[in-house]
Amino acid sequence: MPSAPPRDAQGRIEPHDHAEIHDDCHVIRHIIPPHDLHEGRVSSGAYSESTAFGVRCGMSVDIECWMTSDCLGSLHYVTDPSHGATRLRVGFLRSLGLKVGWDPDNGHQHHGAVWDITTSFRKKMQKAAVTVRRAAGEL
Amino acid sequence: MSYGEALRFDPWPGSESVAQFAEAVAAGVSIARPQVSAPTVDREAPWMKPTRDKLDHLAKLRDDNWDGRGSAAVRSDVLKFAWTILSQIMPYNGVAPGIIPLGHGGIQLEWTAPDKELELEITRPHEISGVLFNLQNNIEQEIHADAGHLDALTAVVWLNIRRI
Repeated sequence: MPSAPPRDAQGRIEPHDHAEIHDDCHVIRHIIPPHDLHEGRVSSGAYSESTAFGVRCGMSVDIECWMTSDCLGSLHYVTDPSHGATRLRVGFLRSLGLKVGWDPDNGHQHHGAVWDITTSFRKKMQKAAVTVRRAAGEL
Repeated sequence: MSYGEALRFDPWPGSESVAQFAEAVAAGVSIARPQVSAPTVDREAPWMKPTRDKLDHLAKLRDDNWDGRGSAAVRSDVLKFAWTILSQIMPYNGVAPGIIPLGHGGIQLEWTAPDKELELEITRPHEISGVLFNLQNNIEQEIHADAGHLDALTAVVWLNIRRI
């Protein structure tokens, strides 16, 4: 079991870099059609942070290396066949100054989050992301 | 008419007294009907319908976590504001923007051309920021738009997204 993520006074997970998510690890971002697509390509907007129920959640991802350790495939949590997925290297995200942490509260035990994303970083992530599976309508 | 006749000329017969003057009737004057141009046809700009359809579609994402990734519901006030702004900054022959919902309930407007990409983020009404990406030299130009002074943003849009 990885070390617990830091929490604030209300018990919510704080933005953090998790030491056990190594730089050579990858994270999987789900791509939801048609909203994440523009002219058949994954938009940079697909890489935005979430603020559900008024709480800043970071950008939701699956931690691929942890899934692999537990004998799960990269697309294990991409259950909708119309959804796509892209892969981003953790070291690349950290080189931008982003935090990559563990967020088991908002999904599953292999769920992570990426914090501090700006418009400019979204564009860089869009360019660096590698397609794992195309979403419906993606060229 | 002689000078003497002119002095006695009464344009309104029977108008010697105020009362009689009030009862006087002026001869009708006919004025030529002005010629008017052909009626104006108010045609909608080509970008408007696809944009409105997309905004209507996004307005249905009313629940938090609509995408299973924790995204906030798309804000209706942001959608209305986006339409207002687009109506002000778009050229008639502009390309309809892509409209991408963002995780915080705002939206991203984006246009793609062979050599550049323009992305505008609307977080909430009157809060617009954006980046113009030059794909040839990888230079990014940040755009800070004040909703009250849209001249700079309009110039960027007109220069970069007009339909060729």
